[in-house]
Amino acid sequence: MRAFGKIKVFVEKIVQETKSVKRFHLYPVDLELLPAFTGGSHIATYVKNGDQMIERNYSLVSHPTDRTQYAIAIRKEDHSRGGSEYWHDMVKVGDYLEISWPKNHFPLAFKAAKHHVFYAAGIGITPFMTMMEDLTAEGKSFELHYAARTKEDCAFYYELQTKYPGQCHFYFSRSENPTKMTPVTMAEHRIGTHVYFCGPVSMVNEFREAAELFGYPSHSIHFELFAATDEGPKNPFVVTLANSDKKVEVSEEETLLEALLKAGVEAPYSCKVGGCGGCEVQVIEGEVDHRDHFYKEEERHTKKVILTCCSRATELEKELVLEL
Amino acid sequence: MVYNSPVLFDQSETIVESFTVRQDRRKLLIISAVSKDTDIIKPFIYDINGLKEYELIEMNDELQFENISEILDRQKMGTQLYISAKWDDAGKIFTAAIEAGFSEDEIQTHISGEKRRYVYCLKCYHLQEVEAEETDTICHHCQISLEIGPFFSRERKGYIGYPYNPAFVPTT
Repeated sequence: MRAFGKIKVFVEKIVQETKSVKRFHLYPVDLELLPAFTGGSHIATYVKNGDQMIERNYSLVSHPTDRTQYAIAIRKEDHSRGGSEYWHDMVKVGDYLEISWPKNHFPLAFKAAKHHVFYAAGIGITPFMTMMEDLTAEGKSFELHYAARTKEDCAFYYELQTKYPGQCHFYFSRSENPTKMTPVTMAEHRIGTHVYFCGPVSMVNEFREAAELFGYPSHSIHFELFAATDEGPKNPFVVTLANSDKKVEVSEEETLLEALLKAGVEAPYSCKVGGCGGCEVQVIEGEVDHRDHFYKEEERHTKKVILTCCSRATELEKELVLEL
Repeated sequence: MVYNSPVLFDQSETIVESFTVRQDRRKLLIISAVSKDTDIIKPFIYDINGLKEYELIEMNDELQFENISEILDRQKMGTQLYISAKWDDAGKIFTAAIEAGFSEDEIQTHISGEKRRYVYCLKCYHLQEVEAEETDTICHHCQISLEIGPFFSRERKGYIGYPYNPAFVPTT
């Protein structure tokens, strides 16, 4: 029985999926079976770069029934904050690292849905790989809409074509006959459809807004983001922690969560992009500028809370008092 | 249908006194199984005021329940369903709608006449109809006394009936 905590793994294989995407196969050092997971799950990875620990979340792309290994697919970002660049340039076969147990902030709506439709842009395909495996095992109905620049840039293209013939729609914006994935197809989905979006913030927001305009109930719309929305001014502010009376300064360059962790505060967190609610903290005093994708508009007014990974004090507010 | 799919019961969140236009939907589908159901449908269509696409299906001898499933199955996302019927018919249309993929949020139900209420015996699982205000009953199958609880079971399609021995109930 594996104890809960970080799991030590080694890189057994690296596959170059496309020019900018690599697939890493991770095997447990203790050779025990890895924890089971469901479609849409991700793991946090911890790799050491000198004194610095790089922590990043990546969706699992290996088969959910294969517990001997996990696989993740990483795109080397053009403006990498260090994570994807390190994984691509420095991580080699045989390297050791630590990972978290799988978490799932993007589960399938198994019970309710009659049909599942996935919309992926670029590396946004990753969570859908395991979701489609789960749906296939359950004999459920689904389709995939997947946008990439070209066929060569389209990770898992041949695997998807072989496994799910007739269920995948590809859109290549820079091919000879360019096609664009747009939200218009959502107007034709049958009653009982659940839609799932994964990709850049702009794409996810465009599809979410369109689904709402088409009259989809909110419980039929699901999405996952890889990055927090980078909107609004990053004003400096101070938080007072009511339980210890400690003051923590948050600079323009950092999030509240980063400042708390740097100050040695054991603040809770998970996705770090304002999507899961894992870093929620009660607010005793002060007005919050909510920048998450987690709360509904109504909740933002009724609840006195903040997601520390992305939200800040409002521009006029210089201080927040937190129940921490 | 899965084991705990929504069912129509007297406290269903879908039951309304009068229909309201859901501005957040693209299309409104009205199914009426009550003849001359003008009291509820007419003012509703007046409220829609041509601002939303709507379809009115009036059930009659030619249009049977088998056709209703077909109609519901071909609806697109963004459709709000309005059911106007007597209890038994409403239950059939409601079940067909859930089977087609509608959620409770996408359905409004107007009941003509009385609603029905059911209780199931926690000892023998027999399901039976009870009066609207009844708090106790006797199981028609195993004859045990039942106190009707507040919890409705979607799987059993009735309120939970807790067996008790009336001899142990203190008289006040």
